[in-house]
Amino acid sequence: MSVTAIRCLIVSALLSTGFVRQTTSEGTPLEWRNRCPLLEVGALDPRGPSMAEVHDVLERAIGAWQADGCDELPFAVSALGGDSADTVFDGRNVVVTRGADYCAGDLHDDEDICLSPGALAITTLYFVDRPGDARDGEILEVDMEINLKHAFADDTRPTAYDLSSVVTHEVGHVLGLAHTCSTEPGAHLVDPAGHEVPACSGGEENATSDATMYPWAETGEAKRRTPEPDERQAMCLLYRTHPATCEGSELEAGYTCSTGSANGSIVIALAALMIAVSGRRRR
Amino acid sequence: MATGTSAARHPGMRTPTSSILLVAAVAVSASATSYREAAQVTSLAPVDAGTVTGWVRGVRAERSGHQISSRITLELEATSPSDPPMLEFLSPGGTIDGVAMRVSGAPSFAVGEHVRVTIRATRQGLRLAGLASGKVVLP
Repeated sequence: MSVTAIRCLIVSALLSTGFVRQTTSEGTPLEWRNRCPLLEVGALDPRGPSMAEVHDVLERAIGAWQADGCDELPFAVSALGGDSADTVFDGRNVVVTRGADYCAGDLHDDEDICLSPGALAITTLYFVDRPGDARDGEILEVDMEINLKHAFADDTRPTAYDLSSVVTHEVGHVLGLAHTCSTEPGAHLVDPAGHEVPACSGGEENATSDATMYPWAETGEAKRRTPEPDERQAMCLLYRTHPATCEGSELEAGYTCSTGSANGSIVIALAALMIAVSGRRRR
Repeated sequence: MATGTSAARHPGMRTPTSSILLVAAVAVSASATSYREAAQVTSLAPVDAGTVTGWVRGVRAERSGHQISSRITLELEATSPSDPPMLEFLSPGGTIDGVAMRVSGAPSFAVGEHVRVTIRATRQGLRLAGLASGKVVLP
């Protein structure tokens, strides 16, 4: 049995404790592999949290996912370099804020942050979904948008949402986690271990509703800043083979075509999708 | 995750833009992946979105700018003879040539599902609104 298979079994056992992974169409869990992703902070609305504040919150969120004795989530955070990155499939993992007036008019009316204004934040993942391929399940890029239509604060004041809790939740998605309950009314979803994912009806057990990956947040609530022990332990197991630190050439801004192990056909597909940036920007 | 199941276009299918006329204006409370408030699954959609009910007849992934969307073909129910029987809209995410895009909190669609969806007209035609709260699976 391969190491990956053993890890999957261990993680599957943990699923019963309020922990759901995102998977490919054939059930391969999503994860970053053999890389040291760089999250770039940029395109911040001037009326929201500053670069330093978002950077700090991201660093703390990544740290919150590290279980005791496990320091193997090698993400790096930096300010966005240049001005060419966006929340599209462009090979860069960007974290942006959207101002309260971002959705005014029709310039961005087809973007999910405007089609779902009730969302506090949205994370988009790009990954390999090719059954049988060695890279099946590999996360290639993530982009995170924080919706400043809502009031955020980095404390527990009752009139605002806790930015650290929201970002910690989104980092859970970045790492490959799904919500602990289904937000799709009427759907009957099953996790990779064969357990039915409960519906988000408001009557979930504490193991589900206390988790950082529970999809609902209340103002003045900060408990999701710290993932539950089972969530952190699962992350530790998933990423224990990764390097402990991110330095120098290990840094990768998402997927790049220069990655030596890239499957040729995937490179072609990526190249086709990452066509020269033109037209409107989502900044 | 929608991965490109195709469906035949119905000869009487209207364009997405004109199909919005079928959409009943249903005001819903605003509420991705991190949702605001609520112990109940309230809609995340904008207030000017509307809902339609029908059966999913096709799911086809396509490039949408620098992202991937799934074009959902819905056979509408309870239409009058003068209404188009089919409607198309885009839902975020999909898989093209082995590369998938997924918006955390967005629903997936499967052919044969009976659903009520919340959709909104945009510059690029009809799109799902409210992520997963915009899709309700019906018996």
